[in-house]
Amino acid sequence: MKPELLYPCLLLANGLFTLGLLGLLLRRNILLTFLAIELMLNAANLNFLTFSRYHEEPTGAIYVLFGICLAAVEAVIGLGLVIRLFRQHQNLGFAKLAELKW
Amino acid sequence: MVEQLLPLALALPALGALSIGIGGLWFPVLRRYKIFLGSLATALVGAAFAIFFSAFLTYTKPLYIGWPWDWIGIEELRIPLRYQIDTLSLWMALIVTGVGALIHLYSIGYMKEEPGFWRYFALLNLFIFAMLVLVLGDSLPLLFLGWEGVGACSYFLIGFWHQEEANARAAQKAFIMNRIGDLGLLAGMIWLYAETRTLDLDRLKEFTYPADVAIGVGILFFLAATGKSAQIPLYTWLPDAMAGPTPVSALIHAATMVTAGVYLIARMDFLYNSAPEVLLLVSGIGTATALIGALLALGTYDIKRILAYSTVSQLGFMFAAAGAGAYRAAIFHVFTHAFFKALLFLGSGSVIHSVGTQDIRVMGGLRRYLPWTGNTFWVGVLAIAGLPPLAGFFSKDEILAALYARGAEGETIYWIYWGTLLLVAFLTAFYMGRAAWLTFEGEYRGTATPHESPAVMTMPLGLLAIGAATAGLVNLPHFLGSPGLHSRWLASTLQEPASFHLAHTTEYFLLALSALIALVGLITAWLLYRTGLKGEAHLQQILGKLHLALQKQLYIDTLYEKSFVQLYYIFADLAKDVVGPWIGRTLPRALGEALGRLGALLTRLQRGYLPLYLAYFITLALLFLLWTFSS
Amino acid sequence: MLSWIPIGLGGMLALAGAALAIALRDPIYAVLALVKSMLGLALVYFGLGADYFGAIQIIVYAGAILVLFLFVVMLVNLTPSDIPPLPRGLPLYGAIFLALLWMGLLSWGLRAFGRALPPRAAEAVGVPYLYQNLKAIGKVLLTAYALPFEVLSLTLLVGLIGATLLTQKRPKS
Repeated sequence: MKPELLYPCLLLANGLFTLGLLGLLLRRNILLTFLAIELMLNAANLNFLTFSRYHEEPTGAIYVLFGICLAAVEAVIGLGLVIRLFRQHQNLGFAKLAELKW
Repeated sequence: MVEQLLPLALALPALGALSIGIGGLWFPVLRRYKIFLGSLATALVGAAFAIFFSAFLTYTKPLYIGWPWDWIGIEELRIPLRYQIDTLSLWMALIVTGVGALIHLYSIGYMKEEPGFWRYFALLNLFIFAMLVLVLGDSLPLLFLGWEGVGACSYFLIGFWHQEEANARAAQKAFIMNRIGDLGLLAGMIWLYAETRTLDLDRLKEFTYPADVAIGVGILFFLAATGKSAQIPLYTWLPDAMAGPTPVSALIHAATMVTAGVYLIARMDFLYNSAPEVLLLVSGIGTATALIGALLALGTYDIKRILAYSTVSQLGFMFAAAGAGAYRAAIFHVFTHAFFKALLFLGSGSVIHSVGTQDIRVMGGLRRYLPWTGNTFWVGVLAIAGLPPLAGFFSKDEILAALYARGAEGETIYWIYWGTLLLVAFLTAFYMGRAAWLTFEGEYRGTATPHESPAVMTMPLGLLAIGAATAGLVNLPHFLGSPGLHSRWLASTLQEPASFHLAHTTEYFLLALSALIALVGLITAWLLYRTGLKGEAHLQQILGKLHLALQKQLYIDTLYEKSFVQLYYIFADLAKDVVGPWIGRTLPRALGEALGRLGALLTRLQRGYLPLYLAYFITLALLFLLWTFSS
Repeated sequence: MLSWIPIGLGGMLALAGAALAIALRDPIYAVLALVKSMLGLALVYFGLGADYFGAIQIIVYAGAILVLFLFVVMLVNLTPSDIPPLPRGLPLYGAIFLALLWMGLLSWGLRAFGRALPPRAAEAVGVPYLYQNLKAIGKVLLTAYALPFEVLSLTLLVGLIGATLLTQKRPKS
């Protein structure tokens, strides 16, 4: 991989992450915040892969593999939780899901 | 041998107090065995006396009964649990246990009907223990422990019949006035510690004190002494303390505890010797107290109160002597006074026991009904009046001679004290004669049928009468060719700033003068009171307005009541109405409200809304990033 | 030069998809926009020469995870009317400010990578590393990373069981 590609790729990952952050802050539905989290996860994956390619070392790439797997598990568990929440509250908006407040 | 027994002498009264107190408290069945409890307590004190007496006979040099551990150990402040047996403390211990044992014995008869018998004896034993700690303690904190211990026992025993409010009030008065003095002792102790970094009496002796420290600490300790020993300005508690049982008055408020102040000053002789100004003050206060006490005794009809004022007055003598630097004379007077005042109090107790009143106006002629009590009381009267060769004569003469000698050395103010005390000596003989004639001679004016007290009460009276008659002989003036045993005994412990040396002719003159004054006082009393109460009218005529004032205790109590007590009430009201509500209600409420508001503000940060938490999290992560990049 | 094209194209696609995913109100459109973003990312992976990961990205992410999302959206019957609109005022600008600050700070902090640093030689694993070579990746995965791999498979199992338990109609209380 050409070294010049490093910084643009990092910037791209950063941008994706920031968009995920923005989504997390702005969206008020638990499902959509989930989407934002997926975005952030992918940004991290991209970072891993970029550096792995850059250093020609497989460790980072293996992490990407693990990351994707974890994302799958997380999505499964998270969506399961979403379904449970929906069953309980018939709603997925944060305005209603304020049970952290006692 | 004796050395091994000495700790026991200290432990026995404590053991008695504990066993009788706990036994009576937890096993009420034991309370019925009064004779057993009383004789147990008496025997314990008697045993302590025996041990001290054998230590006295075999005494060679100061002993220390040490415990292997410290009572207080904070960094460099080390207060060992250690007692010293030197001539002074041993002498005091002998007085305390000797007179104490006799009074214990007497109490068995006097308190026989009392349901609180066990309580009384537990406290009496506890008092003996505390008093021993006071006189034997080899450091100021230990002395203070005993000082507070006797104060507490005094409080409990004055209020022994606490069901009556007046008694409880008297107890509180004594306690509170003593606290004022104790503050002085504590403050003086702290000051001394700040100067010397030690509170050990032996080590304190080795320092030379700058004038300001000696004067300051001396005044503070003297304040403590005025509280405990009922001197101006803190003397008013002692007459009220007569609310307690009479043997208590005899033991605590005449023979032993009230002399603790004199003991303190004698014990701190090294300090007072470097503060002659304070000594002058001590002497002056003592003289004034002696005068006031004697005057007040004139205007009183309650036999116990007369004796109380007499005690105040005699304590004044002791302080006058201590203030002249004649510590040995002061301790000698403590010694003789313990005998005759205990005797007088126990005699008055016997009378009260018999006729059921304390007013001498309704007594009279009692010597016929109570021959033992009457005759021994007369011995006490003659002794306190200072008639040779009874005990009071020698000790009082020694005090007067010491004051005269100081005056002759050029400090003429001591001559003023001397003159005043001569007047007081006259008054003493007079008021004691008055009390004795009104009580025991003439016709009986009361309605009760007087009877002699049982032997358990008259026997101590007899023993004390022997003491009162002969105690003076242990310290015959040296020019009479006797060894002056007492003075030599104490010489190794007490350092006196003057030699009190007088020409023989002067001494003879002084001796004759005191004897004469005592005689004149007694004769005056005889002239006035041989016909009973009629003399009282003459006295009132002679004294005029003063008599009225004396009946009102010279308005001192009223003054204290109007100034300090009222001031205190004002403060208390202020606290109740202003400070209390403010501190107790307004302030906490305002604080609570403020905190509630703050909390309400903070809850808006935490309303369970997830994106908000996320924002905090991201803000913190940002700050962390900033910190990482900036470093 | 060749790799610039897929990376640039894929990157733009990914960013656009991400922006749409967080901005669109309709949850179905949002998920589909995310699918587009994932596809763009896969393109980037191809551009980086990691063909295998690009493929996985398409299969697992776009093909499985996001389809799962779609299922859930439909299962809970999420309609645009259920989704509150984007906030206005302070929350909006505050969030944008925070995000921009984050972006700027990270870009600034990583600026050192803008200068072409020489790559570090990779000898940690000792396998000649070729992303195109599936055989090599499988070898690494089953030798040096055998244990993490097994743990990962266990994790997947746990996730499976967990999801089943969570979504049971009537869980044992």
